[in-house]
Amino acid sequence: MSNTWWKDANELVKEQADLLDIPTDRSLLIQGPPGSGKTNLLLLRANQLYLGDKPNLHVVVFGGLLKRFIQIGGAQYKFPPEKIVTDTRLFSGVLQAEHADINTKGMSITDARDARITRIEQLLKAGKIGKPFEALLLDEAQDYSPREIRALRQMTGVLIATADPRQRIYDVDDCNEALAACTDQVYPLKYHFRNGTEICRVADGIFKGDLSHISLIKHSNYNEKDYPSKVTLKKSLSLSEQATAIATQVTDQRFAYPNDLIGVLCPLNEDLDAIQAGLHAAGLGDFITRANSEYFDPSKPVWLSTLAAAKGLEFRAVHIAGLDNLHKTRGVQKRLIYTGITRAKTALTLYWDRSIPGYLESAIRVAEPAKAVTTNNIFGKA
Amino acid sequence: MDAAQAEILKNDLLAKGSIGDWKIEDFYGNGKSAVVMKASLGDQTAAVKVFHPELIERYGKDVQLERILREKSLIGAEHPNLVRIYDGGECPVTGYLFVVMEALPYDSLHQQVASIPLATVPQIIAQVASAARFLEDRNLAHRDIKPENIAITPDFSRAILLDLGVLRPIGASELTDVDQRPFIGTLRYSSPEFLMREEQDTLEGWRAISFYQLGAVLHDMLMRVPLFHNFTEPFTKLVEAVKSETPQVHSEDTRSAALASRCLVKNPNTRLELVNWADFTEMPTDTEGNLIAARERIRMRQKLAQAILPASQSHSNEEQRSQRHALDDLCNRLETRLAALMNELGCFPLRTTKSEKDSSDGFRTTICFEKDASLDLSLHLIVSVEVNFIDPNGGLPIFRASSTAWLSGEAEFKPDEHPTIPFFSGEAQALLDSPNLERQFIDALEQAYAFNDSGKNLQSGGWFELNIRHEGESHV
Repeated sequence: MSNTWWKDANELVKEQADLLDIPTDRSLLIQGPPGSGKTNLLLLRANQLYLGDKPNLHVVVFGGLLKRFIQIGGAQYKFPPEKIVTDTRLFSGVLQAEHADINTKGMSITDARDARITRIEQLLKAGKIGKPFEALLLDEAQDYSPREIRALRQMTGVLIATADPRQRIYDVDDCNEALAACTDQVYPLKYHFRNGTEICRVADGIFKGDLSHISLIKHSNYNEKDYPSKVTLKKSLSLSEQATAIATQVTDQRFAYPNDLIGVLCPLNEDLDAIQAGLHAAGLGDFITRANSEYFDPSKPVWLSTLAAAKGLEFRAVHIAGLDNLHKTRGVQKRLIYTGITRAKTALTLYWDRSIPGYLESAIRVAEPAKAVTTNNIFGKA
Repeated sequence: MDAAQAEILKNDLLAKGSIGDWKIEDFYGNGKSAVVMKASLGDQTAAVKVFHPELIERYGKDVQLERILREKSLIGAEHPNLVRIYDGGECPVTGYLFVVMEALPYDSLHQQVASIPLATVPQIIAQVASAARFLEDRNLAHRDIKPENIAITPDFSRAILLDLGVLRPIGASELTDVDQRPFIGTLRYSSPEFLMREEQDTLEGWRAISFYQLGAVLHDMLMRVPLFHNFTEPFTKLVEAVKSETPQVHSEDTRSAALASRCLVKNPNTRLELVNWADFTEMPTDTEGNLIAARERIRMRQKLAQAILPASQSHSNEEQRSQRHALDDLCNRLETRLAALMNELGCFPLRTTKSEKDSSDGFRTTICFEKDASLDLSLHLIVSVEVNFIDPNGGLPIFRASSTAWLSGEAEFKPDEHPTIPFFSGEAQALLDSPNLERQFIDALEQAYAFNDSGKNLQSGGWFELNIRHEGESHV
């Protein structure tokens, strides 16, 4: 995998490098847009603390997929992989140590999280849990609830968190205030490097009209010369036709970007199943892996995932299929598709059959502007 | 004047044997309003143009004399590519009006248009342009530059602009012949504004017409057919073509072809944006120029292809929308191009890019570079590029780009306080490919270092305006 993790100090820009000069006992909230290097910095900071005087620490991430992904980066820095854990594993571990683990079988993810945090709050209140960790480093911290953040703060000496409220994809209360309150310093990253200008424009289009949105294009310093970016739209394709179209493109992209990961994402798991079957049928079985499953094999070049599970990842080329069902993800759909789009560094292709939400349709107009509108057009004629 | 009338005039002149001080020796030929005779005075041979009395009856003697006087004002004005005038006036004996000029026993460019070697075309047009400019410098407009009015030596080494009969002093609106159209036959080579008599009676207004006509001559030499040859009949079809048909010029000599296309742009103001006198003489000197030529070649081919598509009927709302679209699209492409350019140049600090699309016909993209101690830049360098829509130009819009740059202690985006200076006019793709675009940034960075090295300092909250090069460049 090329270029995902910094290999050398000289690859960091000043605002990134400066963070590592902050005294190691400070709790930090690192904020920045997608591709600003938050996760990589978190990992370097973790190694800095680990090699220094805080070896009892954990990097906490959302989901097994992201854990595997960050472990790849950690291996490069010789950071112990067992120090990278999922949020579920961390909370369960704390409860197990107190013999207070709860059975969450059959519960929804949200309910299970609720049950665990309620239990931990009780134990904290009762003084059963002290400060079991010297440091906790939370990736994608915008997806924790304020209660989880406060509990984590209590359990650790130093709290480092990265967050981008734009990428909050779980329907939990906004924890941004709690994060700021639980850290000593907000460390903003301004510039980002992952997403090509064409991709930035579509992503910005999602939040067009939202005054609080900070435009991605504005601070993009992506290498457009070596990897000219491109957004492609494929509409009026059934799900199986989408799979065929993806197979064709992926074959070309494997050739164009031999050392890079390619992502195939869907809003819904069941659509992803159909795409996966289609890619198998197209003869790509040896190259693809279902990222959000127990059979995940990170050595494969083409990763299939839901939009939600793809958070924190990055790919040279991203295919987002099954967009007709994006609206079924309801309240988080905008942030979900924003997160999906910003996984793409260079090439983004969007696939759908009949219709996509209006905000997305408007956003992609930058990739394919409307033709001249004639009176006949308005009446639905050619 | 028909052939029989010309014959009568010719015979009368031969019989009389002289006009003014000049001895008539032979007959050269005749045009629509005059016969041209071979004449001599002492050992000087010349061509005498004698106007048919019918013309004088039609327009009045005073008008005709005034014109002859104007031609005579060029006596002694020597230019290698302009016919010399020796004498003129009213013959006290015969009463004929006449002009005596250099005898040039050569074919016209019109007659030779199919045999001109491509390699000589740039030189020929440079010579004719030089003559036209010589007239402009004397505050005169030729108004009838066309292949018929250009003599060419048999070895194609020298072209001479003829027929100064319709010369016009620039800005003399009270002139008696204002509404005469003695050269109505030259409608084919009239620019649209000249055809509609909407030309501006200013140096620029007439220059725009000269450029158009020079472009038409260039067109004929490159395409080896007269401009709008497919639109000759009926007359109204030719008028319509002059007004709205975009001529297709393509040639192996891409630079000349591109120049002809720019000259033939319908809107005179746009034409003036795209062409200047130097374009007729300057030769490309570097490989960058050759690259531009290659791009031009591609664009011309595409332009030709587009011309085959049926023109869509559009409505002014839709036009506005498409103008806005062209601007939005160019804004996006400019941002992307600048991003790639910064990677390519590899010597600029991190940057913030902001585009404002406030005005109805333009946008402004401003890039603020970070202070960067490792690059020895202690101030923000800010470079701002403004782009304005000038002309829809039949579906290939023409834009003007201007720029400015300054140094500031603050990462401020107040481009309105910094007026821009134009550095480019032309099509969108040509702007993005233009070495001048790159130059704005390189120059700005160099100037920033120069400021550093000068030891000057900025007052807090102040800025220092950089002086970047803006020399014009235009490509359709």
